Amino acid sequence: MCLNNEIWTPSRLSYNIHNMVDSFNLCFKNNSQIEQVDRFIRWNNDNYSCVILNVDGSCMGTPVRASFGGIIRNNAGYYLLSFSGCVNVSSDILYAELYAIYQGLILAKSLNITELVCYTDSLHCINLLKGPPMRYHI
Amino acid sequence: MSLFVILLEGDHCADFLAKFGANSDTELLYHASPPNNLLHLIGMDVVGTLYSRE
Repeated sequence: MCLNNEIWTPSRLSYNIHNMVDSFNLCFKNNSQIEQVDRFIRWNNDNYSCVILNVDGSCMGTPVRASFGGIIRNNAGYYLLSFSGCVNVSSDILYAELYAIYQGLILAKSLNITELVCYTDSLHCINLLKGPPMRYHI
Repeated sequence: MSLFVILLEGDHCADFLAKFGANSDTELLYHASPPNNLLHLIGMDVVGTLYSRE
């Protein structure tokens, strides 16, 4: 018997199981190859030709303290301005990461930057900002 | 305005500033010129140093 309640002979069942194992193995082999291709990372890897903002949040120390920072450069890497600060109201890393983006955008706006690319290392933030609006999230 | 995610290894300067913020008591500080140890990291980015992903 198999998943759809159909009756299979043991040989066919065995054949299907082996086939499936092979398929799974193939999937994971392909994945590891893809990861190996993109193993080196550098600043502004996508070569955007506008102002670049890099932000980051961090939580460290005992008691835990959240802080944030960011740097604004042009596409040639020329230093324009940077900011840093600590968060007193929360020690949550997501808050720190989002606050870093927020402060970075405010600063960019005050500098009258019209074209800006913002990089963050928090995929969670990106998903929250670019995804559909949610009333609740973790 | 565009927003992208990058791997931690490509974000050394921002990482440095976030830790810099943890060591200060100021809520928000603007650096008109880069803090001392940041210059080196900026230089590394400008020449396009490739960081290996661990």
